[in-house]
Amino acid sequence: MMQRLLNSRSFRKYWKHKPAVVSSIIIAGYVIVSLAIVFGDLVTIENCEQRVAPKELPGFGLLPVVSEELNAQEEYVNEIDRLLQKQRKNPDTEEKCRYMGLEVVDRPPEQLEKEIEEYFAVADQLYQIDDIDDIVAEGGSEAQDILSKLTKAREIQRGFYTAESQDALARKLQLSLGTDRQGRSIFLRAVYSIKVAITVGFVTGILAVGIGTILGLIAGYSGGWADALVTWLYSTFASIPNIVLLMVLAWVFQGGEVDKWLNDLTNNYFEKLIGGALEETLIPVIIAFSATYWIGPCRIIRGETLKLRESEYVQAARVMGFSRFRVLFRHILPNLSHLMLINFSLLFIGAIKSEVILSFLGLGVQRGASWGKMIDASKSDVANGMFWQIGAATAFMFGLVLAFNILSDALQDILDPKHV
Amino acid sequence: MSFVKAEDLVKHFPIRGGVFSRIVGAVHAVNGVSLQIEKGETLGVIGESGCGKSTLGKTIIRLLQPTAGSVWFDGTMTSALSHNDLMPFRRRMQFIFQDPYSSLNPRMTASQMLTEVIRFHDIVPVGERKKYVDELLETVQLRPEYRNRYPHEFSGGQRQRLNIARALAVKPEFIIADEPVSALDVSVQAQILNLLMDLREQFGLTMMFISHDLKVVEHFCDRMIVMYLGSVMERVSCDNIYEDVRHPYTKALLRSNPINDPDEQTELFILEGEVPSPRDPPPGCPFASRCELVEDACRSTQPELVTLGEGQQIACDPVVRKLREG
Amino acid sequence: MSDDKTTQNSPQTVLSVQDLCTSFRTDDGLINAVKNVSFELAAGEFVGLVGESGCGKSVTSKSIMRLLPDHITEYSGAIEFGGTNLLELPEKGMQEIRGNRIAMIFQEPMTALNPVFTIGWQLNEALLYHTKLGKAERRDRAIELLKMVEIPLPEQRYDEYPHQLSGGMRQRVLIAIALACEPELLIADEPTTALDVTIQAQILKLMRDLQEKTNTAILLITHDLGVVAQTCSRVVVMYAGQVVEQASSSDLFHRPRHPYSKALLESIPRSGKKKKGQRLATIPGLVPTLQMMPSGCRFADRCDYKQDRCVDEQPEIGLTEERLVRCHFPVGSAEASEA
Repeated sequence: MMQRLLNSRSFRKYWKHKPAVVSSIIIAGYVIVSLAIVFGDLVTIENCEQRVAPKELPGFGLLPVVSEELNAQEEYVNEIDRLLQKQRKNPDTEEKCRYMGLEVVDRPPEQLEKEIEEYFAVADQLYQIDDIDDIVAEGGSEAQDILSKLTKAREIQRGFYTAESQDALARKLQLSLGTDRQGRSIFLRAVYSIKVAITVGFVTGILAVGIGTILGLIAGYSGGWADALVTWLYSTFASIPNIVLLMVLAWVFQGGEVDKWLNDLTNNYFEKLIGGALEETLIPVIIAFSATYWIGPCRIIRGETLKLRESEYVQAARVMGFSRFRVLFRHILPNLSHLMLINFSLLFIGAIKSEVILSFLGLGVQRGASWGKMIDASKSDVANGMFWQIGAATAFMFGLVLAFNILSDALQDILDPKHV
Repeated sequence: MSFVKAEDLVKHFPIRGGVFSRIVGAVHAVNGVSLQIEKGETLGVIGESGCGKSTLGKTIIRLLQPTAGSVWFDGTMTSALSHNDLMPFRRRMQFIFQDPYSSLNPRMTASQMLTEVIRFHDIVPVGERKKYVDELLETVQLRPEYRNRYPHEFSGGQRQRLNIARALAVKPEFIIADEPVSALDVSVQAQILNLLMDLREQFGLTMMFISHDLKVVEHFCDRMIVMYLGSVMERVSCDNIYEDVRHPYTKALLRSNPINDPDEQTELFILEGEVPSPRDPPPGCPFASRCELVEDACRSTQPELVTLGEGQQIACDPVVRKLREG
Repeated sequence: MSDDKTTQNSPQTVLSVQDLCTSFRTDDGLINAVKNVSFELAAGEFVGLVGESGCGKSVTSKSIMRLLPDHITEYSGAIEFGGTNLLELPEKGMQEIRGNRIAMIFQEPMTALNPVFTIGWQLNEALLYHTKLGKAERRDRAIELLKMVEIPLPEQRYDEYPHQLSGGMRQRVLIAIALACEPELLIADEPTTALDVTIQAQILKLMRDLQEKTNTAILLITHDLGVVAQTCSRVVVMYAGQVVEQASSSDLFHRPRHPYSKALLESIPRSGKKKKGQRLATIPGLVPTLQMMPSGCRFADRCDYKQDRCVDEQPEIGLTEERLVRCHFPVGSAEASEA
């Protein structure tokens, strides 16, 4: 079986198409990551919501400017101060000494207090300089002085937390693409969004192509009232602007009456099955997408079925006395498989892109992260030069969508039996 | 009683139009055709495109439901049978399609295609299926090694052999061949015609051979009917068509056929005009608009088929009258 | 119609194809579709290019028109037309020749006309592009052309759309468009294959009449020997990408020299002289595929007159009794009877 697949004409054509092969590898990478998120808890919702820095920090290898770094440093030092005061009030509590995912060093309170004072002695000098960022940017001896003081302050501040927790690879990765305003890791959020995108893309793709194929087959093959009904149905759906329908459906499922009713009805059931209330899952988004996306494949499959129904090999099958079911599934469906696959890959991309738009409009994914939510959140950031959030979300999405586009283009050529 | 018989067969295709898809007209593809085919005989059906010859074949095999009239097969009226009651007859009647490229499922290998038919109709016991497939391929002169090939790996002639093998797989008694060689090259056409002639003899097949090519029909068939715009114009034996044919249309067909001799091309016969639309057929004789013998009566009343001599019938009043007068 | 004498002594050669080889670059390497094809067409000559599917006849005609996709096609040899080698002409120069000095009509009259424009519009376009006629003159000329191809009620047809015409009428319109600029050469690629016999007879007669009237050279590409017999004065027979025989029609039909021409003629059912159920003569085997051409004679595998030499050595095309035959042992020749 495997041998035959590898020797088949389609596979050889695929193997020769190098961009398609590279794209498949990229897509496989995304899929593996999302599987690891779903089954291996690689990144959890909690991870995405967790703060890893006191405020927004730049990513992509950029360093924060001096004033920003000072602000962040102060947050780290103030936290130690707060911890000390808590301990003083309540000396018995064995509270976990962690902040922003970092472990506080185990040192006597007196020593810590001394170091805090030492820190502020250095830092206060820097705070007094106006336009500190401009001076550093200009360079010169004054800038040298500022930088050396900053280095000193940084060393003291680093001393409050264990070196292992600050230098861990995981932490470096978390900060690699920067953090958002709440100090959440953009890297983690972007990675978690892979799962959201792949789930929405795959489930929507399969549902929409499935519905479209079944309705298209029935309409195309039997004709008559069934055809009229399906044609009417998709004409009606097609006449509603896509995005409006998506918005209405998304709104209905999220906090609308339908949602409340559904929630009451199935609260327990959904809690058990999907580990959360309906509105906290991707289900509303997927239903909204499937309800509009089946139209495209349905039209194409119906048209092709109409054509194949009159083809001589289908007529030959009917002359043999084969049942309607057999003719449909043994003789017509296999000849539509390439269309189904191509439509699936197109819808996959469409769903991912629409999810982004919907989330951007605030109607999409409610809990956790998604590329759309990230782009939405960075609306005002971009104007202030904070590009890393939107940059990361776009780059992750771009990689997946581009790979899928290339693959689906290649599949059209590879699977078309007439294409040599 | 004839082995296969059609009586006053009519097939109209409704034309729908307007907002509510009401029936606004009909294509009169077959207009009251009667025919009989005796066991072991081959009947040719000849006519130009749009004359209804393919529709006639498909209606007889019940790929299409007749609008009116009846079809009888071996004493049973098959045109009124339900899908299930028709099943035993599906085995006994088969159809060979014209286009060797579109008549094979591109996603099934030769053996998958034949095995499906054999299994469905339970032609041979399970253990012998593979052997039977090989036998079938050999019968149509294809190598059994080709059994795992897909249609696109075969040439046009080989595909048509495969089509014939599929029709033969159910051991039929009656085969309708719809232009089986018209899409093939001349030399391959000859191979397929020879094969069909051999098989006809070997299995004692009764056949209906639909074609637009007079030379092929003349060579292959015992008798032929000539169709024009859904009606039979003439019914004649193929033994000596050059002398026997009487109908002006058949004569015109015969004379329009290119002759393979450049030195005999002194005068090319031209039948002027074109076939009228089957959507709106003329009230009288369908051929009246192009006929050289046309009379006023021809345009208003459709001529009946009149028996002239042994096995010959024509639907042309002027010719019949002339013959009777002397 | 021109007869043999004028073709042989004609000083006015319209088209001369010399040693044309056309190959396609594919994933499986260079595939040679047409090899060493040479023939000539004189002014006013009606020549048939005959062969079965895959023999390279359409590739030859498309090479002349340079209609093959440039990026995968390689040519060698020469196609001389009016003193220029078409193979060396840039695309721009080719555009001036196509439709103007060499016209072409295709097999499918249903698809060769644009369904959204009227007949008149399409005729007008051809005239506008290649002539300097004014608007009113173009209309007059278009109607004159429709009259010339014997379309009834030309003034009325001028404003009709292709779907309102039958197949035969559309083929007439295509001929009118092809003749619009009075081309020196008309290539007709299976012009009657999609038509019924009675309509085919009408179109062939029309082509013959027009050819006499306009003195246009016609290259008729067909698989149907009957069509050739009815129209052409000379025939070029192709097999597996090569010309195997070139002779006057009457010589070829009465005394074919190449075994392939002979077998092809014999495989047509003959009217009249019939014995019922008699087997037809066939050519055994299959045409060799382009990827696996034999090194010797390409017809050797299927030939009744095959000798050892045929398998080993590719025959050159040579003059045998006033005609060109590519065979070591032409039928009826001294060599054949010796062997």
